[in-house]
Amino acid sequence: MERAIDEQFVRTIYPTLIAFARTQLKDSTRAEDVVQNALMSAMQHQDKFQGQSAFKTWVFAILKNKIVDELRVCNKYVAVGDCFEDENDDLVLTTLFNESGAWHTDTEPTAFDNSWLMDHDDLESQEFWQVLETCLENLPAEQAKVFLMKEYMELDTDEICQQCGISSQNFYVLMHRARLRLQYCLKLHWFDDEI
Amino acid sequence: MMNDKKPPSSPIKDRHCYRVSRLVSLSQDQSLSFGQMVYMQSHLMMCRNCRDFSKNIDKLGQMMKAYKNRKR
Repeated sequence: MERAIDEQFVRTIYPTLIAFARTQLKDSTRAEDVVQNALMSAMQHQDKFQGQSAFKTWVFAILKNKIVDELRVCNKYVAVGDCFEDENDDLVLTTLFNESGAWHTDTEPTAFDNSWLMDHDDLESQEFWQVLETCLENLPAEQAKVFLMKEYMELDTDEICQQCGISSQNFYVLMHRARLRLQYCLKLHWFDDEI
Repeated sequence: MMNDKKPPSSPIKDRHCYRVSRLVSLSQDQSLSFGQMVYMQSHLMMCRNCRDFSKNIDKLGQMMKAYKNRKR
């Protein structure tokens, strides 16, 4: 039987899977374990998939489930305190706002144009996703985890709070910080970036 | 008489654009109370930076959806 999913293909998607797993699980060994588990279960059923893109979507779905399981198990053992090493990231606040709480003029928001909205196969659009991924990777671990659980896995607030062992107030703080950082990072590296 | 109970340590007072940025973010995750909505909307009418921030945050949500659904 001819297999669409060969070693070469796995080698190609592996870095993307690892990068995603690392934004969710701080520990890179755990990230690698989760990706390997996901790939193994996906490979067992690969004959059900026609074409690599369907398979890739499916591997991602499996990976997300594995990560959710992993977080569930992990949070039984991880002290809540560890979850909040990044809570006092005041630097981003002082970069964006002055003492009276107004935007600094050199870092203030400017409206994003539609340059990110392109045909998905477009080369430039690939570049935009790379910028977005880099901005996501640069978030403090807890912010990345919570933000992606909300905006990528589309879990609801209660479920996220429960899985991370945080209060809804903590959740809103983390989401606010993540959005401030992402907004600024995208402004800096895409929208204001004159080439 | 001094009140020795200090507010949570944040270098920035919870008001103006900073406060509005928190409400803009909060409004993505839950519906705002009437008071919060009035505070936010009246500020947005006057403040271009915060209007831009608010639109950018809407777009950030759209980006994440497009990112999720993009062809890999």
